Amino acid sequence: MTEHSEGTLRRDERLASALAELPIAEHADDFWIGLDERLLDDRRARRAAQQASDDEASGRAAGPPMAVIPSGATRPPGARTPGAATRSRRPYTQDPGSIVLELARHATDITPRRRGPVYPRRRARLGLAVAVFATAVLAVVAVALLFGREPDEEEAAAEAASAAVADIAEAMAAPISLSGGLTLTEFTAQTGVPEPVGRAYTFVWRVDGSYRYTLADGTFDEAYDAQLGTRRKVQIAPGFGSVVEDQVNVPPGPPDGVAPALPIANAMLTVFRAVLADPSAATVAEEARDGQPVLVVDTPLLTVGTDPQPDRARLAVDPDSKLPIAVSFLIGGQPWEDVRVDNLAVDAPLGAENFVIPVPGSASVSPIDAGFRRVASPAEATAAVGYAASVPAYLPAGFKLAEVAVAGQAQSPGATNDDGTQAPAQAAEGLIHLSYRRGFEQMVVTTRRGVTPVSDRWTDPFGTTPGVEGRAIELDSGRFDGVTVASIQTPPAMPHLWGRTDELVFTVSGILPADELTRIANSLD
Amino acid sequence: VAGSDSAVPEVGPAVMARAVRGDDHAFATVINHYDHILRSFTCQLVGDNDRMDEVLSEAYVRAYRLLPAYRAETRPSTWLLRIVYGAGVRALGPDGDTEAAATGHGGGSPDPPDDPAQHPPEGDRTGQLALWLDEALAQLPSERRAAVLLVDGVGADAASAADVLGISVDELADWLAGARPDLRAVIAAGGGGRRP
Repeated sequence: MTEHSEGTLRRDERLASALAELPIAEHADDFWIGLDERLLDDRRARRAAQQASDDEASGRAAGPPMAVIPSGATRPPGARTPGAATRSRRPYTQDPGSIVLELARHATDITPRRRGPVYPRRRARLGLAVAVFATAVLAVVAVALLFGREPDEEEAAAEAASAAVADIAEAMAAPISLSGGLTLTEFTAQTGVPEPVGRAYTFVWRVDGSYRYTLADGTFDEAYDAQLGTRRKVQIAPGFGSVVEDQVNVPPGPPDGVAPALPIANAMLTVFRAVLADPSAATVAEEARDGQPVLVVDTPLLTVGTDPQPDRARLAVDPDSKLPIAVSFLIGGQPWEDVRVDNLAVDAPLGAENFVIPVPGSASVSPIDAGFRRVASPAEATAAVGYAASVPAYLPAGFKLAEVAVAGQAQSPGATNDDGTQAPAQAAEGLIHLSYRRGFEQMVVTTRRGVTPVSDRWTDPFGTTPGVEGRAIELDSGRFDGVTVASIQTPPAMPHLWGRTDELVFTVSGILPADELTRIANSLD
Repeated sequence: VAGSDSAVPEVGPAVMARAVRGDDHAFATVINHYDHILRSFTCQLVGDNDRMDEVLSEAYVRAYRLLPAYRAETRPSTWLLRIVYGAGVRALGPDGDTEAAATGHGGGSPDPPDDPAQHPPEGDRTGQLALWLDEALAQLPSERRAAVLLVDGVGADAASAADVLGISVDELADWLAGARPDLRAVIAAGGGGRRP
């Protein structure tokens, strides 16, 4: 604390007395009525959305029952049972008239508080308020008698967290590009040095997942072009030379690789993943940061292994645009790392040239070819691999096709045995990846032909974790109608489902609830 | 809150808990409880009555939506002031200026007398001082104005005020130290009936 702060932080009583003499404006006559209308509109909109969700849930409930494979399979921590999902959608308000009642009562109770000549106001129109009051009393009594109930606070908080993440995801679906500054700061808990270590980058990002971010001093540069499937990373050590890492035909996404992404994208997706796994543990609050309002989603993180790692993340977004401002990671309450966005610009035109990093003159480049060649469309993928690409007819709101890639062959990890040993890798041919994006989020549909060993011996192409079992779901429509798939939502795995036929192994993955992934799988043609 | 020296009277925890659980009567009680303080803060922060209503309407709707996320560890006044301050900053825009500052005086109040020797009658001095203080507040950068209004106006303790503003307590001290001299000068000069 600075020298002056101890006394400065106390209330200045003389100033306080003077401020107390300042006039305090009353609300305009129609303030409470207008506020009441806004609150009721807000409630109606939420109830309509909830009704739509409930209708959808009812439709699912009427479908074939879900089996569990194998017996004793666990439900992911925090995942809701169908019954819990229904309860969590229950509105947390009690009845349609009570806001009107209380605010109308307040309107009738208004007493003049003005002192002095400033802020002239009209008098309240008490007649209207009283009429509303009387109507509301009847509504309150009737509704309270019929529907008195006590929603669960935890479920309401979970609902708020899920809704906030859904709002952010929806907002992120709108921009076709983002650009600005990106500051990564590592703190003592991570670095072991007393002062935070910050690095400032500029970045560009395009809706198909292409990006580039460049360190201010030019010693680091990384770019990914989703259309070409190329990724280049250049690091320059002044006085020593340059290191260039080049990858071509990069897999668009899992299970054959992790999609390259900006640090802010990875940070946001970490928060999304945590909230999906356990929304009841997350909180949402409006706060101020450096004097500016922000909406903060605060969530614990699942830690895996014994290495120190952050156990909590706080995603701050602009309360209006819902676009990201920063993600802060903490460990034991201490700051671990901050990823902050500055001077964010939306929808700046970006061409292919924005994602090209020139190779430093003296550097040699030996690209690593991962084998996933980009093609223009699912039809072109069909022609390339010799079987029809499976295109989903249903996509969650905001997702759009971003990348299509084919690979002649690839290997997936074999199962992990109980003793920790690994089964042999599983070879496949004729792979198709369809990558869909919504902002930083990604949903990937893959198909592949299994080769020896034959497909009925396949295990999860994402790999397996001892003790983590999938939930068996029988698909009831689409190309894979009747196929029983395994749905895995248990962290830290990427949420996904996978299934197999005599010919194909298919996957659907993304940070989405199991029912959404299932709905996508049911719509594959 | 234990150890707090906040002068803000808080609504009872049971009422707040009922509001969080979805009891609209309790929510209205909470709003009614704090409305006077929030009007006092917002009115001086944005410097305009209509904008005050816009800000508070926006803030109350946001509070209603965010109720499920409220946590009992946070003082209700701090939680609400944080939401109101956020709405106020958005209403003020990137420059953070009040209409009063832009036009040179606050809230439609009359200009102070230009003649420094003009002394209003004793009975008018309090009102005149209020007008000058109002004008001086409007000339402050919005974040410093908010700091003074929170600590000296509302009576929030330093930790709560810093929380509302999203800054450290040290920064709050700097903001207060930067804002108060002009206001004290107004009080010192205006108390004698002179225009500062």
